[in-house]
Amino acid sequence: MSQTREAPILRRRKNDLPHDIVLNILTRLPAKSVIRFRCVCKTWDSSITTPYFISTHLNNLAHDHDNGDGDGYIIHMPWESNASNRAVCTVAFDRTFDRISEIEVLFDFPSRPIQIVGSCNGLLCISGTCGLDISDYVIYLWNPSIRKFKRLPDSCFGKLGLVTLGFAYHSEKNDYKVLRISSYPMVTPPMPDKIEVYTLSSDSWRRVGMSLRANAMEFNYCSLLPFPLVSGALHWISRVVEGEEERKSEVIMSFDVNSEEFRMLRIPDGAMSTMGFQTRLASFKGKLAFLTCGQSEQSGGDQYSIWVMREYGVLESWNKLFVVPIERFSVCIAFTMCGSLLTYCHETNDREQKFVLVDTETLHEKDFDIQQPSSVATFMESLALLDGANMVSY
Amino acid sequence: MKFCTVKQYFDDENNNNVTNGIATTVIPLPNKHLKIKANNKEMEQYEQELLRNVMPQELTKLILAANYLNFKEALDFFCRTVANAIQNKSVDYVRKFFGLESDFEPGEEEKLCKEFAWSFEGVDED
Repeated sequence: MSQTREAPILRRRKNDLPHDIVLNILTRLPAKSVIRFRCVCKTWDSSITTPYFISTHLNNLAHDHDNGDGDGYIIHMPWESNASNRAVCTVAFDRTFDRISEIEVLFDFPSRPIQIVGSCNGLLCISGTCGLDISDYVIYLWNPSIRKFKRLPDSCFGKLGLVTLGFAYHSEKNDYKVLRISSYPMVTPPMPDKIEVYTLSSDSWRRVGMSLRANAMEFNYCSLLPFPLVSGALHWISRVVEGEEERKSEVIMSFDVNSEEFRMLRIPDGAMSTMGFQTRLASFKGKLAFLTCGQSEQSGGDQYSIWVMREYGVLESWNKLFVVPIERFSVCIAFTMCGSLLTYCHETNDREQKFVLVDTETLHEKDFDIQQPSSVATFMESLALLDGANMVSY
Repeated sequence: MKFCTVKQYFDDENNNNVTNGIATTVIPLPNKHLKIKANNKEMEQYEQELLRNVMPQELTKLILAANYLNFKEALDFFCRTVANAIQNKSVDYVRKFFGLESDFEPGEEEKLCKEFAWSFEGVDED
């Protein structure tokens, strides 16, 4: 009778852990450790790079975050380059903006400014102009935690006009989408916006139509903040022309990531008179927030008013939650998930510029030590796109 | 927790050796969990105290016990603890810990290590 020899790897000692428990442990590790442990053995390498592992790892992160009393993280990146032409991102705590670490942005953006378009599940979408022609855009998807990035293909349209971008996670399909709206405001006769959507799973752009009541989108408000993703839809502000009287008004546009349908939402009552370049949309604790700047009736000074839509889609649920007095010539750079407001004050007298971080709940202010205006977005560590095709490692 | 499984566990001869350790560690967990469920900081401190004197290798036994008892909270807690213990360790350390051997083709492993060289920075020395 011949003795069969088991391959060493299959021989189980009494105290060896079953594979599903090993995965339970591995999905609780930080991204850097997970990547390193791909080198342990083939089974681990193939298990780690599955979509199941990646989403379990993400869920563990989210769960730990919910259980803890800590807030999340943000990442900020200067619009303009420094002397060496390499941008450096900073990861910091959401509430205090206290610095945790720095990450070098290793892409070559020939010109500035570069902007964080959005951030989902630890995956960043960043864009910048390329070359002298402002209609040339380059867009990257980037996961700094696993040091992988991917450049998006060119537009399916020829020339792009004025571009607005949004980035979203499509939860129904575990996919990611980039929305690009290209407008041509100075053209006569008026030209309609061109809209296209990129999906990661197809790695391509596709035209999308918009069928809404309004006659035309006059223009889209340029946002310094990423389009907030709330209730599965991206949001931005547009001025539209409606009806036979050609009435102009500002509305909140929304793009449902799953159905790819557009919708208009009314801005809060009382906010119409304050519309201007300081008007922003953001996500505050998972709800849609509307921020605008106006004059205080009492003090006569400037103030930000922040409304939050308590129940999504219910226009009556707009609730003015915060009023933040500000210095003149203050520009809102960011409004984070937990309510930290980052403003940029340009003091015209002594030409000094400073950044101030305001906690909208306590109105506590502190000077923030950055040198230049920056893009700010939420951040978390994740393995997103570890299983992606055509990714570049660095 | 299922009390019948607990009884079975203690009756099962194979588990006699680890019974003591499990009894003092695993069993009190559900009560403690309920008492300080609201406060995570306290739970973290309790966890650290509890496992301060437990070697990582012994954690393996605790995990197997929690798994056998179908006690999910303890299992997750122990797995979290192991994850914290190994997160900064080398590939070799982790192999020994889990009783694994490299089954890569020659050169394959080197290629992977080179691609992720950055993930090896700052790793604890064995």
